[in-house]
Amino acid sequence: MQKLIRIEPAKCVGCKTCELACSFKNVGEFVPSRSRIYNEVFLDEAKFITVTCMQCDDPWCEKACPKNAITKDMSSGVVTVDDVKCVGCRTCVSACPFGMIKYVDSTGKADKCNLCGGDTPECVAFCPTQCLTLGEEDTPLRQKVLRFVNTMKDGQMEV
Amino acid sequence: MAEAFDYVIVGNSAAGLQALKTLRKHTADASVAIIDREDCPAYSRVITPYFVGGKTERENLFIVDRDYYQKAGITTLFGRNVIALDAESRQLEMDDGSRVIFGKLLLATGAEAHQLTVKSDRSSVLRHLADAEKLAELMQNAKCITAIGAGLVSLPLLSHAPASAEKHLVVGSNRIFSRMLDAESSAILEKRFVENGLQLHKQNDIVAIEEGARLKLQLASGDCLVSDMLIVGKGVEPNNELARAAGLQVNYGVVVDDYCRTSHADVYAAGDTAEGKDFVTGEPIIQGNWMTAVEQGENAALNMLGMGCAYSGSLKNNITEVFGVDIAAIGDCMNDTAQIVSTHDQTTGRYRKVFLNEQQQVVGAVLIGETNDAGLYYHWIRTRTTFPGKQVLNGTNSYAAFQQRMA
Amino acid sequence: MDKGWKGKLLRVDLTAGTCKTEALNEAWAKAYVGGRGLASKYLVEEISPEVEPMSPENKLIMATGPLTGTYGAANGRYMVVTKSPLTGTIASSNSGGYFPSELKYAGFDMIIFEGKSAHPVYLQIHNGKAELIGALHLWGKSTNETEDAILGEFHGDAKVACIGPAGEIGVHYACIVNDKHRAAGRSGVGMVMGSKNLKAVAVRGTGGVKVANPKAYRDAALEAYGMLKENPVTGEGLGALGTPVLVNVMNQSGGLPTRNAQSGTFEGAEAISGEALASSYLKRNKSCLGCIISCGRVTKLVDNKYAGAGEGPEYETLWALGAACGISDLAAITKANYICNEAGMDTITAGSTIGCAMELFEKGLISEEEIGMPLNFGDADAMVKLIEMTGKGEGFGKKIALGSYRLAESYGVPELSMSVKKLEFPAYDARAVQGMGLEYATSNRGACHVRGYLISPEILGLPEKLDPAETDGKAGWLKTFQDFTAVVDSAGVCLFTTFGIGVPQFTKFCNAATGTSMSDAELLEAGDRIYNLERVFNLKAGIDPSQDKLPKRMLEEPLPDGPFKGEVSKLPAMLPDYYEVRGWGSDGIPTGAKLQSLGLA
Repeated sequence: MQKLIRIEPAKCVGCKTCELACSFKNVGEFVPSRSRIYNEVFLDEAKFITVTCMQCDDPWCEKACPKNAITKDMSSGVVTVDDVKCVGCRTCVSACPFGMIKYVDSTGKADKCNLCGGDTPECVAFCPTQCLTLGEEDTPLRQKVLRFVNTMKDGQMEV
Repeated sequence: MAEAFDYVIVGNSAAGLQALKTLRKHTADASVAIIDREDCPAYSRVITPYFVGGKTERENLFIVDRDYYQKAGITTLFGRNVIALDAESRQLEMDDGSRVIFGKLLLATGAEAHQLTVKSDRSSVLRHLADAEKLAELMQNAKCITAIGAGLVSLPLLSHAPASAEKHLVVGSNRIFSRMLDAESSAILEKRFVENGLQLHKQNDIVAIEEGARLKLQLASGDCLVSDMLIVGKGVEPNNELARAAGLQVNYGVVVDDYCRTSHADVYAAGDTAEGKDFVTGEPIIQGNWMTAVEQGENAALNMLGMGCAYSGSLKNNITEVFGVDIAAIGDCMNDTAQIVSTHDQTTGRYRKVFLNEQQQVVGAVLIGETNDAGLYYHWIRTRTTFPGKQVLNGTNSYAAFQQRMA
Repeated sequence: MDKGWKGKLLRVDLTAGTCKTEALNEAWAKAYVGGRGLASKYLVEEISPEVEPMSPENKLIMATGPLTGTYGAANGRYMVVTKSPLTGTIASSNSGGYFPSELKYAGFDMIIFEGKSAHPVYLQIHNGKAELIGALHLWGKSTNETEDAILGEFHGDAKVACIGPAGEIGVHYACIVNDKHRAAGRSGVGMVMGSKNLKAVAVRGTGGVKVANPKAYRDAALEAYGMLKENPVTGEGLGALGTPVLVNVMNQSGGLPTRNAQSGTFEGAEAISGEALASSYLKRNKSCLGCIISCGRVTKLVDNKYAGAGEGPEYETLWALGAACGISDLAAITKANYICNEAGMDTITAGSTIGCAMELFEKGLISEEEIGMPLNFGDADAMVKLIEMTGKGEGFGKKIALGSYRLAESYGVPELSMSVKKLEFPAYDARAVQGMGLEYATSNRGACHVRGYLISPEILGLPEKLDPAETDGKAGWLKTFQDFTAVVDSAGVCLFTTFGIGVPQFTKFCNAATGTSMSDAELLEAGDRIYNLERVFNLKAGIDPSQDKLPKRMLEEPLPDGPFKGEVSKLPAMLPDYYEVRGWGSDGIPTGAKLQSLGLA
């Protein structure tokens, strides 16, 4: 089964613990700008939106990479950047329709969520409200996106 | 002696390689051949500037290795030139006199760089691996580097060159990136580049080169630049002689329809040689970027397989870093759209601009300073999304902002 | 020094218009933890305690702690430290949200503002670079408008702390609002900011916070999260009902000071309770950075004569603008809360001062003509109107802007101000909760609840249940709470975590973050050091121990109702104990030996 991080926006409280946990594990310091999951807080609308890589079935970033540095593991579903091959040309950045693969200045490489490489993703482990869970999926991307948007709509409905 | 293949691809770069991958994804047993006059596995033209600037190894230019083709069951005819195409009899004539017979043909022959009329051994364009090797060697000891043409060859190369080198850019027009960006964006960048050490010579040209211990570049303005090397980035010209001689419809490039098919039903074209529809304007265009080549290569292959997939049109999509400034230029961003929304932050130097059509749909975008959400703008243009509102330009996580607007 | 602390402070000379980066004093950081303690140390070293709070010679310090910007408990807080214009004491006001952490991500532990700008400015910080920008276009704007304008012109992801009009026009309890709805609320720190012509601080930082021992830090965080989740207050109560959960609790305990503390129960309590809020205007709960408690109340007033949206009201606000004024109109309270946030002023002092004015009016000490309207207890419209006038500096609002002490004093009845050291006490009656009365009397910034929150043991039973009527042993409890709170404030963590986690957890956090190997006792001693440092500053500022007192009403007027009917505060019985456990002389002055043992002599 392929894995991905499930997000239930209604449970989010905007604490950004996911960003802190992700960067602490993957970068070694608390640096939300380097997180691979993004918890955005919209103060006026009181809406909290969390987004991360959906590990696409047919990843735009993989296709765009002019170096074959991005691959999708067919068993886990995880899409990974090979740091040795990556030159930092950013073509993948311009290809991802969700902005979920980013160029990092300090490393000169592209960086994205790899579901913590097989461990329980740190953001899931630390999420205080179970807004984030690790799911197993075989649904094609289009449906994933659609469902995500729908959950978002449901989740944001006012009580 | 003639070899026959179900599918033949001429050109082993972005479009050719993607077509090959796509063909193999859908057919395991069809015979496929790929021809290229360079005798090496596919390498990446996106990466060559990094190699020239010493930021990556030569070995790292290659996208795949030779084994890749063999494992995929692809016949490689590398180091070989096609000298003639006979579309009716579905044959290619090779430089050694042999013939290659195809079921379907993809012309992914790319383009050649424009040369200067004045020449020097210490000057080169950047198109092929040999050009990259030459430029890399010249750059190693250059104390002063001059480039001509203010596009995506000259500027990244100057930017990647050692910080200690003096850097000059000769530009024919009155601004940089005149074919990629609107005037305001290019003015913002020009200021930043000059602050970072670039010396600009606008509305100028190199009229003569005097050889010597160093090159003396005579400019049209009468000035003389003493330089150790010259980079020529004056644009490219599609490799369309084969198609033209074969009687296919050729305009500036090889004309293709929405299925990447040329005027002959069994011959397709993709990448820098193919002149197809622009996604935004609907006008014929050669985008000349990696993503377009990949998309067209994939689309051509699907249609060669008979899948009947229309391509919605090519889209400009450039993203790079020049002189420490991240830049993305996507879609139609040349000032002539119905509406422009922009934001400029003086402290961080961050600038964003979107171009909208009359229906308030996003048709183009320029991002300067922070470009990590460029793909989202590309996607908005592709899906003809109505602009969600200026506030999405303010932050860095446009996707979340967009979701918030939708939710 | 990049372990917990960033090791850098930004010094902004507003007179000269310059910004300079300095290395953080490492020895001080270790001795005073960070945040409140470290900023107090800098303040004490750099200004005279006699300085006039509104003069350019006063300094304003914004300070994060070594844990700010990390995870683990609710590690997103900073402190604003200055000399208070309301009380004349050292002021340290605390706030959460996202701004404090962003300051660390931009590379700074602390900002020291000194001097006074000739014209309105705001400070932009972008990854280690800082610049003062003209703010004439922002002057007069509400906190909401100011933040929006800055996000538009600077960076959409920037975090902003600013003052509203209240800080500009000298409301004595103006606060500094960050992330629109979070405030460094009490003691008038916003008035000091306004006196310096500093409108806002906007920060964008893409850096990070490192810790000395990541593995130990992660373990400490998992332990703390677990404890906070299991604790009924932090794991459930505060998330579901927020601080307003206390309205009914305190009313039932007979300790909800009503109508300027004329009684201890409020007949309208149910209507302004956390439960009432949850079933009406509450949209959702919200956290500050790294917090799993999420007590923030996101609210919206709809189809009501009072429209608006924002965060709050918190418990203290429901009390101040509600019970203290005899008002049970939740919509009016919520609206007044929004106005306070947008004008940038402390709801506790604002509400308490209006409650005081209501009593003065009912006693005939202020006329209807002077106020411009009748001002009886329970008049919600008058309260909202007066809050608005105060934020704008209009009419009688100018008097309300002085706080209850200066107001009551001007009518010759300072004893009717429910304050200590001119700071109004909040929503717990000292006659019903004896330990809390001792806290009011001895807190270093006046009658404050968040320097030693004995409500936790006396009412909530955490970490163990104490009898609120008992006086014995309260001094010892209070000292420990005050010292521990000083540590929590200094570390950059929210006080609310202390319902669920204790000193051992903080010791683990601090050691893992900064690479020290302190014991629990040593960490608490740092709290003692901070407390004494503040005390000595106050004494030198002329706030002598005779000010360790309570309003006459608390000492002499027995509670007329509730479970503690007939009780008064037994402060005189507890204060000598308190001085003793503090190691101070019976005169309330820290002894030389005590100061020496803390390294303060």
